[in-house]
Amino acid sequence: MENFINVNGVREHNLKNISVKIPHGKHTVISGVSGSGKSTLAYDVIYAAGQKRLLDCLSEDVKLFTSKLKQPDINFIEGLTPVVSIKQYQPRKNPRATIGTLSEISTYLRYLFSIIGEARCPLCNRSYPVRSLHYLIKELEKLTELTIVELQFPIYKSKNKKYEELFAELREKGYKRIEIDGERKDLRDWITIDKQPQSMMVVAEKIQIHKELSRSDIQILQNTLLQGDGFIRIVIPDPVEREENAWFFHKHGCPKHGMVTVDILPIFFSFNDLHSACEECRGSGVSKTAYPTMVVQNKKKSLKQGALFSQFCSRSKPFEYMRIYSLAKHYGFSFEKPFEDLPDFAKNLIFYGTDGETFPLLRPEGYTKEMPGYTAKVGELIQFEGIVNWINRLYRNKQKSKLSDALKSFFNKFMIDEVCQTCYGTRLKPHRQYITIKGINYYNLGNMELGDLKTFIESVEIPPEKMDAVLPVMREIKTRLDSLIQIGLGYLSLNRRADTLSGGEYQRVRLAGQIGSGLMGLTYIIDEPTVGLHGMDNIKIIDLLEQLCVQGNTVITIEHDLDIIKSADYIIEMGPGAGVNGGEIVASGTIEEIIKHDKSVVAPFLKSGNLSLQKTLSTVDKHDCLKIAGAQVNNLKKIDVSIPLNSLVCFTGISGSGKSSLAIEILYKAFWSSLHDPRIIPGKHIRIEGMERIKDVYCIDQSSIGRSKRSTPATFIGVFDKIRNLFAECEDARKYDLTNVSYYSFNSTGGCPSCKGMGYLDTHIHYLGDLQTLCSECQGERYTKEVLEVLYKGKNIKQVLDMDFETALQFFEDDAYIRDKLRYVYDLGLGYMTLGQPIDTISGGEAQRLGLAKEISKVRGKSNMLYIMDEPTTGLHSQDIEKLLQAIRTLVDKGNSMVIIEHNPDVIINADYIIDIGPGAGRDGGEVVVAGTLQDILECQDSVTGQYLKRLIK
Amino acid sequence: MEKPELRKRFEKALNSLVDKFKKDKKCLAAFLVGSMSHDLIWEWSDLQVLLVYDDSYKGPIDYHLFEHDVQVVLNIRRRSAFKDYLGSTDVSDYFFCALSKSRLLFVKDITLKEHFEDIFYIGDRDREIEMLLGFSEAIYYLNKAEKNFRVKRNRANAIFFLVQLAQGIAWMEVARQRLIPEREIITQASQLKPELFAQIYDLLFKEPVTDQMIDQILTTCHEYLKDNTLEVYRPIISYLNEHGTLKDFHLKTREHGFGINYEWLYRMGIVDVYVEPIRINNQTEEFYQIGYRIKDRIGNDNESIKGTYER
Repeated sequence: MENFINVNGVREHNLKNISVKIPHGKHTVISGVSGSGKSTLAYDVIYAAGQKRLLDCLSEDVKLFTSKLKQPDINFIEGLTPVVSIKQYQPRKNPRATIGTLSEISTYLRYLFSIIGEARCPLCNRSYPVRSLHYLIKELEKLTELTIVELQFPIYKSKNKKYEELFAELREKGYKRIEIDGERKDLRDWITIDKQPQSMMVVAEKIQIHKELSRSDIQILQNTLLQGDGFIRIVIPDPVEREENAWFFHKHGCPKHGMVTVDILPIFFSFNDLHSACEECRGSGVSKTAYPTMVVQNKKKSLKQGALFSQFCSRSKPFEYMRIYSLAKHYGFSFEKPFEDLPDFAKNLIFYGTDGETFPLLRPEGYTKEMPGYTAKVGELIQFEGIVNWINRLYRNKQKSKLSDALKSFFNKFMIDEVCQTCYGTRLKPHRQYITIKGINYYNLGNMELGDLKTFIESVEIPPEKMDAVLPVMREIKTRLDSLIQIGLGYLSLNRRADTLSGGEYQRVRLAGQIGSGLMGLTYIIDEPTVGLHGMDNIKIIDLLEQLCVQGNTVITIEHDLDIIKSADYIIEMGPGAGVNGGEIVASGTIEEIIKHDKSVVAPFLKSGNLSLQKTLSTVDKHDCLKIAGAQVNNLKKIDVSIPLNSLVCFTGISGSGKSSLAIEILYKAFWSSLHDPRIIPGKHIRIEGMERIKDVYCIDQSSIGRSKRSTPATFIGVFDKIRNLFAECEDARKYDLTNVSYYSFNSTGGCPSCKGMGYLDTHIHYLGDLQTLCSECQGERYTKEVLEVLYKGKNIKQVLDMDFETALQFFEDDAYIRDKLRYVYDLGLGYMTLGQPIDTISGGEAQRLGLAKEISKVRGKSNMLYIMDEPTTGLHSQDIEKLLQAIRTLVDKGNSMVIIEHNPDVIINADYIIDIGPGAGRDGGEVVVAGTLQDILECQDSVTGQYLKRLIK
Repeated sequence: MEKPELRKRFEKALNSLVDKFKKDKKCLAAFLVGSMSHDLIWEWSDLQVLLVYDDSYKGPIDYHLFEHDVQVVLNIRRRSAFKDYLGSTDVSDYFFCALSKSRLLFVKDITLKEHFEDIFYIGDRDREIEMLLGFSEAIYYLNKAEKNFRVKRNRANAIFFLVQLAQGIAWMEVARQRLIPEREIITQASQLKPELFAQIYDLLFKEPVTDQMIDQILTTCHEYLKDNTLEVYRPIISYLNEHGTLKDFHLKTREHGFGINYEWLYRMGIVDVYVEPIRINNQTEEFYQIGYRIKDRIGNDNESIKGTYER
């Protein structure tokens, strides 16, 4: 086999019959302006061919579905190894995916706990060794013969379970007695609990010791262990026998309380295992609870005017309306004052009820609506449990059956996810907290920053007899931790939820996982691995990519970052332009060869590394600003920050320093909560001054435009309705009697009935994800044949959707509305994107720029807006960044304020004001290192960003 | 009158069996169940013996033997199954009640003996629940008897239901004394409350039944139930006092049988009935579900409101 991947005659999308050779075992960068065909070459050709060949190796049953997979339009491809794609996308909302599960460190940590974990007595926290059941049986058989041994097991009550329910469950299981704080109670009597007990031990059974325990006795032991999740209490009731056998507890458990722990399995620490997960939250770590302010629709209105949502108090619901009115009258608070002005006790009554106290039901004067016959009569004494209590009760009751969609949306509207009050976020049964390594339990270990975790793991002393079992596990943990730390994610912890990571962080975690897997002979296609990473940390990514190559893999990255391009063994530059102007290989070769190449667009940037200033350095008005005081969410250390208004302000700092916490969690959420939805709870801070200066807020982050397969850029920016109108009004439409606009929507009447307008069919194959196969009915055209016969200016609707923005701009130049909207997108460097590209396939950076284009198109006459953007340069070539900056400047010049979280030096140096957060990540970050103009940043010795920029600017 | 020679024959057969089973190492305990353990026997009686074996026992669980001219019904349980049975059963189970009157013939496992002796304890909770269930059964038959007597004018059916009504009351009285109910429960209860059962049950068999007598029995039963309402319904009234309604009230009773009758509390004027709209099977059609709320709460001490509205 030749030592490269040979791709010959590629005509896919805009690629112009190109051929390329990618060396095996090396790092190859595909660069070029946005839309030049980089992704097509990497994903639609190399990855697609690899995937198809892999699936061809599968069984005939699976091949039934794969036969129709779209073949890339190429002559041939040779030397391809199995391909792994590591793309950037926001992880799905799933509370169960964590850094631990993604990196698989949790799996190995669970093994470690099961091998060297020691138990702690739940009653006194004294530690003792964990034994195997076989060992325990042998030791029990050594006790004095005929000794009676009573077995107990600890039990815990979840927050929402009542004691009576718990006792009823135990009775059903056949248990008769329970020890509550050492006091023995009979479950056949009423048991009243005045205060929360410290310990509850269920008395299981008694066994009599013989030289050889009977099968029944072993069965009893096993059952009790199962009930106690590995923890049992062994009690010898007879004092003499207890004295004789005291050695047993000194050797095996807690000598004071007789607790013994047996057979701790790795699965005991998996919150995805129902038997190990917290009973209340089932391992998610969060539980739903009604939140008082969420039931308030408008705090400026009075109860009478509809301050509360209509489900709780509305004139159209007589009983609910009269009940709140009666409550107000009886307890003496106003029914007519704005809700926000009501005293606390009144709000308490509305949210939490009268605690059983009754009050007469009254009818407001002039209110005549009759109550249905089933509710109370006027004058009757009624009670009110409170809206929050009512929602919580309803939720608990409804949990027992499957929730309807209406109920789900009802609960989502008024309830928030709160840390589970049973497991306190540990996600595991309480028993699991009593298994520790060096005194630290599994959950607390998961909360450590990865750097600290590594130090901890290295400090664990391994008993010689367990060395063989532990060493391979330790090795796996350390390798994975090293990868994550090396890649700049040392500030994360294993318990951090994956859906709270940025696209870049998520991608890097997966990348580190690949290093840990130790696989070789693969081809990795990695999309912009430096996204979300501070320039100073690029070296970490470069090292990681090198490691992959050293392991024997081929790495192909799509990258714009100059550091990465410089570090590559081989560079393929696509271009020269985007869309129809691209699709060629402008230059290929080593860095030296590229730099010497005349036509290369990237060569001048590689040569000089100079940053270009788009504006003259100016001073900003520091008095005209928003002032955030006491920002304290996540790792922010109660900091005060001033953000100048009507300026381009850039938040910088290394990954994990706290930029997003400040910009999104506090700034954006505080504005959104204040201006639109009071139910949004901003991150902890004392106050924000100057909020009145802002009319509205708009956050353009990487997930802001939705992820629907049926949405397209044309629908998103709002031109598709107009295009459909043009088709519905054209001559062909009248001729074929297709004048209804719905015919030109693939989501509606005009869509192919077989694939419902998608153009392909989704087939789900276990472990391989969804496979898309071409629709045999429409052959990917999405529309019915009749609709496709309607032509507007010689093109049918599908052909229009397949146009890129640049072509469409010319096609629709007669229509001012469509033309203007398309131009904003084109101006932001998205001219290569087609009108009908499914939104779920566009990158985070593209999504942001689309969002920005939409906003700019609306901005005429708008001022005093606050725009917040999170790394808008993602996926942008250095050339395109200039266009982006011009667009942003347009918004600022019209009197708006722009806050950008960014690592890209081009954007940073062009900002009016820079706020550098850090100095480090995680607990080492969270402070303002320096805030000021570019000059201030460059002069600050403590600022990593400043020093990095200094290096770049000549 | 029992024949002494018959009992002697039965004893001989029993002793012979016990001697044999004692020799079996795997046989842990033997119980004599049925008439021979606590009642008179006659020619058609048989010996009923329950054996508890070690868990390794794998044979059939029933044998019909013949020992010294006596028919023997042998029932075998493995130790863990026997313990599970004792743990899960209750006084409504016939075999459980039979066991309560059994005689322990021998036991080799002291823990089994302790367990067996403990199992017949009736706690406060069990007592009150059994009283409630007996009471609810009595109300059900009281309604049936009254309807047949006063509406349908069917005296035969009324008498039939009066006997069942007496049985419900008997269950309640036996539970009140923390006793295990026997098969002939009215006889058992009559010994506890002879005057009551003389009025509501014995009359039916001692004198010709007249309308006046039925009316009198119904009145007596009604009065009796009314007088006992507060005591029997104590757990429910106590809950109502605390929570106002029975919306979230769950009192786990056995799955079979009558359940708890709440309607009686309404008849006694203790609770009000209201209805709430509900949807069944997520249909759009509304139905109305009955609920109960207490009329006059006892001991309302106007506690302060709990919770805060702000975090």
